[in-house]
Amino acid sequence: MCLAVPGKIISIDRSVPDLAMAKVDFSGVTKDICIQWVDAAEGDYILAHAGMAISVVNAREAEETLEDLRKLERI
Amino acid sequence: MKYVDEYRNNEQVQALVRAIRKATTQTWHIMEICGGQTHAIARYRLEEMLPEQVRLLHGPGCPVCVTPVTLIDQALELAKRPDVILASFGDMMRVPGTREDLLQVKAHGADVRMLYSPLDAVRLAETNPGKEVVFFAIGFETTAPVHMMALKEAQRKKLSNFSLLTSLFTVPPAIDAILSDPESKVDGFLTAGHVCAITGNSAYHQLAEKYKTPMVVTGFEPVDLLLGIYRCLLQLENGSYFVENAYRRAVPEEGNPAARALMDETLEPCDQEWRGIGIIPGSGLQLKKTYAIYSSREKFPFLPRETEISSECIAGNIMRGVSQPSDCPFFGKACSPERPMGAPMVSSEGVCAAYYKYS
Amino acid sequence: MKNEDFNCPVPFNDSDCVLMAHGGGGRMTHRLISDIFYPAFRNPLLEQDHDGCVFPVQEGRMAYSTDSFVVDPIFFPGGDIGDLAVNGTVNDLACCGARPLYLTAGFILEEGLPLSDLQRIVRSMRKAADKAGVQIVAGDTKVVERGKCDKLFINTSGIGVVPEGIRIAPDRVRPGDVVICSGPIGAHGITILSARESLGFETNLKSDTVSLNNMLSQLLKNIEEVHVLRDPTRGGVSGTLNEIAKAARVEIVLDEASLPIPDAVKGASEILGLDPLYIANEGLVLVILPETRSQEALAVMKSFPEGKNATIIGRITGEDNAIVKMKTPYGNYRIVDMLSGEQLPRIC
Repeated sequence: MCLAVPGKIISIDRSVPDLAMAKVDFSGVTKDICIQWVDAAEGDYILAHAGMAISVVNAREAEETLEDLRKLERI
Repeated sequence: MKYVDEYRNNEQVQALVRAIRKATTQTWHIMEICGGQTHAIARYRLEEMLPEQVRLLHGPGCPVCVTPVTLIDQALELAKRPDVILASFGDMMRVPGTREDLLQVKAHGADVRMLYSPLDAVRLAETNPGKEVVFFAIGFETTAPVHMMALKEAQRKKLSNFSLLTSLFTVPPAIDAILSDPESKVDGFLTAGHVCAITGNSAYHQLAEKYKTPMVVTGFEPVDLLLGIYRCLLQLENGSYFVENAYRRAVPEEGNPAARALMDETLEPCDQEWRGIGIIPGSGLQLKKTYAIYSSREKFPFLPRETEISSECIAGNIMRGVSQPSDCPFFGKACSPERPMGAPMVSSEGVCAAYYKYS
Repeated sequence: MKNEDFNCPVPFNDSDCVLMAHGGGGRMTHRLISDIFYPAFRNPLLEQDHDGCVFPVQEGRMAYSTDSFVVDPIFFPGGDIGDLAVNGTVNDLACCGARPLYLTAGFILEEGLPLSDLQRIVRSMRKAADKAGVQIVAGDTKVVERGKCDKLFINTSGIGVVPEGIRIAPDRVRPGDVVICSGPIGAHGITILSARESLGFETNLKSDTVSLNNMLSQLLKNIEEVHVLRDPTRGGVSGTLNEIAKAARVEIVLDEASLPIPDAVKGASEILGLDPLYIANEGLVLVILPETRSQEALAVMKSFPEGKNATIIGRITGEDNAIVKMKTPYGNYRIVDMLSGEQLPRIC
């Protein structure tokens, strides 16, 4: 139901109160995304939906999931 | 793309398929609730790779598909007003109301804009002070707070020419309705990862307990989907039923508290009609009275109108997981994406449209 | 009182933008032609100053094609509506197997269009024509009131000669043929989308608009067995291959892993929910020929900058089943259908 795409924060602009904005790179495509709801820094990956970051991609969890899958591959 | 390509990797897809085959000993029906997941399953032909005993059922989680015809007619009527700019996601542009769709009224002179974000609609209202900008605010819990962010932004900018025509749905009451149906075949659910990224998982714990049905929070890439199916199968085969998170990189247990606080402040639950299904109690969200000035329906009061639902179309059964598109005598014949008879053929995320496009 | 003091009080208009009078057929029209169009397009055939252009013809077969250009915005990274209009018709002729010779250009101008924009566009048309080796030999201009068109529309028509022995036609497509794609998919369409403000994204992409006739004439010189040449513009690669499959009544199978899709096209497609196979291209050609000649064809194409990324993307696998399928990365096959309508960005 909801397309949300991971992108990397390039820069953050907090000049407008309650509307923190970030330039986000989606593999060569740059878009302004509002990051008001997430605690994110430059270099973090966020999931963007309709112009809003709905969550920060958790790099550790992502790696753990992949590691579990690699274990599964060896079975 | 990082965090996308890894989850489309063939070796891991094949490993998961092998694991699923190994784990499956009997027939199970698993429903993915979300249209985005249905679309990915059809696009990558994942069903073909699963053992025959694993049957996927496709739920009603596409807001484009389930938005009632009455609401589309209201959007069309608003769009035709010379003092209105009707803004919408691209998805809604081709969805037919009773007689026409947004692209058709645009061709006849209506000012209809296709936007990526509701926040862009606020900018549109700012630059067009002489017009009322109506955003067709469709969505589930993922999109609902984005619309509310736009509303708050309009409030901050003191704009009086911005309003939302809301068509907002929530997932847990729909799952409740599906599972309480005596005809239901659903043994386990894949819940929609991006909805849970906002809501968190708490509502699903109660449902898993109440219906003794496993609920697996699932992502949208092929590896994510197969992982969700695999975790769900393991629970089914073990006879367990709990909420399990198979999309941990995107979904924290508590969801997104800031977005939820915004929803709590601005929205309240309501009974909601789902196109093709009917009214599900408590399954919608509407603006609270204090925000009525941002409600297009309040600004432009409409008479509710009865809408026709094709009696032969089995959309309701398909979206409740009772039937498959192939069971429908009209599928691909009288009913196609150019001339949809029912909700699931309407949007590319609808199960019938996804089946039609890729098979 | 001297005679020359009786000047008309209405000044001669040295406007910096297009006025209705520029289309009136009078002095303003004449000045537009002599100041802007003639200097840019100058060639002996144009300077015959007829209502049309007269030229000698050769024995043999000719190809004739026409196309209209209404792109918004008129300037975009990698090109503008001018070189697009020249390259579009040149490529249509080249895809008929023809050597393009002459183009005509018809302009519909919106009142208020800055003359500097018009000048820039006609100069870029000349540059594209020179690069393709064609001449613009006749033209027409009309001006419409503001709001009746969007800045300017251009129609180009073109004539070319088809060398002997060349027969480009879908009915020659046979099982065992391969589909070569001359370069990256989707760059033009995504560039245009990003140049429009409403979707608000930026890319490092450029439109791929380029004339393909030099590469294609070399290809045909070396390999007469080329069966089909098509530029996948509107409707994208999928639309074009579906047309070929239907016309030739063959089954075409694409290999998803082999599709040359730039990262930024992938990124934009993910964000907007688009499928790169349906996105428009401008400087791309699909070549269908027997597999036995494919390596030779790739070598010719790769020796031109517009074909340096040429690669095989699919095969003709069967007859009588007019369908396009794609092998997924997981070894399954899915149908690649034509679009029902225009591809719209989606959020869900």
